Amino acid sequence: MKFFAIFIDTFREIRDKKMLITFGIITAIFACTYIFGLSTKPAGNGNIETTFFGDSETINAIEFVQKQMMFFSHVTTGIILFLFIITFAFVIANLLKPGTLDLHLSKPLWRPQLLLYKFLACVSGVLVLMLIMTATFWSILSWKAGVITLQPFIFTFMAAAIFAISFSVITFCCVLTRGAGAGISIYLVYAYLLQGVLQSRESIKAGIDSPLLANVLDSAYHILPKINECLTIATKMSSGKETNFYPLTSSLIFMGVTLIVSCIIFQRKDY
Amino acid sequence: MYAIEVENLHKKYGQMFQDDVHALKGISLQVKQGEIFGILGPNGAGKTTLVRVLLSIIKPTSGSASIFDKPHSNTEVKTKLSYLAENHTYPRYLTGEQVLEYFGWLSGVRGQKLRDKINETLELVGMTKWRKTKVKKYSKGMTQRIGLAQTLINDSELLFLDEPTDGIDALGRKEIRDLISKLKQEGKTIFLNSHLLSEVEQVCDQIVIMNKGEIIRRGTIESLVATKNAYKIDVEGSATKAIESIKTKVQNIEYTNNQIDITLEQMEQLDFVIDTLRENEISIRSIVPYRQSLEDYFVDVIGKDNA
Repeated sequence: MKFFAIFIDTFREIRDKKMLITFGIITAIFACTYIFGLSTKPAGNGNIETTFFGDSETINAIEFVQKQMMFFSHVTTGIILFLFIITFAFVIANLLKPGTLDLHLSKPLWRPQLLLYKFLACVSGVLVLMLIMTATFWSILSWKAGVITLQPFIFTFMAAAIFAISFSVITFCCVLTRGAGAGISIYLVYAYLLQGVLQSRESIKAGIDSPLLANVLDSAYHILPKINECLTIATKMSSGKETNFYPLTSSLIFMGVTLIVSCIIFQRKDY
Repeated sequence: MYAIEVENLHKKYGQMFQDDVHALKGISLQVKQGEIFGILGPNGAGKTTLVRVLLSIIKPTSGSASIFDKPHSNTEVKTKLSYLAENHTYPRYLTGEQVLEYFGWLSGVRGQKLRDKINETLELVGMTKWRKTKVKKYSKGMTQRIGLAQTLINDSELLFLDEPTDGIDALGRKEIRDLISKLKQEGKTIFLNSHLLSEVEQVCDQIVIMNKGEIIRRGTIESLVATKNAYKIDVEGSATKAIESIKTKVQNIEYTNNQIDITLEQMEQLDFVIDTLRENEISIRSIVPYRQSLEDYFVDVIGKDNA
């Protein structure tokens, strides 16, 4: 019940931040594009003939749905995850405001329980919204192609997991600083700069012959989350291709450790 | 069993490159069940720190505190208490009704009981009309009323009210005082922290006065403020001769316009004063003991402590 209360409250907060309207508009644009821009007709042997804004092709119906869903996921996931990270950082920061936190801490809630419930409420919120978006788009494509394949939904769950991994960093920074600014800055620097450096560590190591630097880069790579590589795993899983799960498992371990440390700090710190 | 028992509580705030702030210096107190306990003190006296320690929002440096015989940090204890924070910030995106629903859920109240309680408390604080209005559109007084309703939502046995009448007009303050008295009649224990001394004076059974992190006075209001044996006597007839007789035995006496202001060394001397007036055939209309106001007493005590 307490989790439900926090989940509903989180939804009300993002609704107030006009996130649901933004989200609805993005979904509607994609939906309308495919409803009015795409026409299909059966071509036999499980194939369909598609015409999309003048371009025609004959393709396997299931492959078509998967291909379009993948395109859609790639276009939207980056933007939506970025928007969600920023928005939900403020949700966590708002919980930690002096007047609000006092009220929550006077309720029969264990402190780590409060933090974890809020974290899970944010992740669940992202999952629900992405499921609605994916389901809308998937319904249109399935209706147009006349087939049903559930494989594209794997990407949605993976996207929520990637959000959770990224969001654990934000949560940790918010617990430390009580504000959203530091968390967002650290996340952006890491996701758009440092992560790229770590991914290209082999070429850096080859260029600079320093065992110390090589060790630092390797350690950092193994410890820190691998967001881009997790997205690649999600794509491969959605397409039914085989993949190496190490980046995902190590990122999930990072998320777990970050959350445990956040809970310990939250439990011990005087606010 | 006490509702609250605090033993030698200390709280120090560490500061970088500065001396630690010793916010609570060995606070000990007991609050009986069913009483209204007032806590007074100037800004920075440590009142809110004490409340926040009791609610385990912050941790004490040393000492112990228990609520209903259980450690104050026990989560189970919190089902029996509620808190109206001084600087509360209710989610601005919620309506008054949603605030009560949310904090009701967090307190473990649900279903029909919660819906009934929401209606009841909104009515009690006079906010039924604005139940569907968002908190961001509320005035300070309205937010305070919703805050008060929030403390009543879980039917708690112990209420911590930090400045409950802050921002509320005189009429509203009277309503809240009446509400506090009603809650006392229902057997609730109230821990009241307020700057409005007249308010405390009217509702509290026990008070403590804090200054610089210490309790400097404690007791009932009567025992603290009624310290002078001073009386105002309204008489009829010329009392000049009687006054001359009384003057020889009392500490201080003044007679103007049929009114005698008198200060006695001992209360027993009042019999002598009455006898002397009656012997001189002076009619006594009323005898009223002078009572120092809590505000005068407070200013006096804090002034002396600061000196």
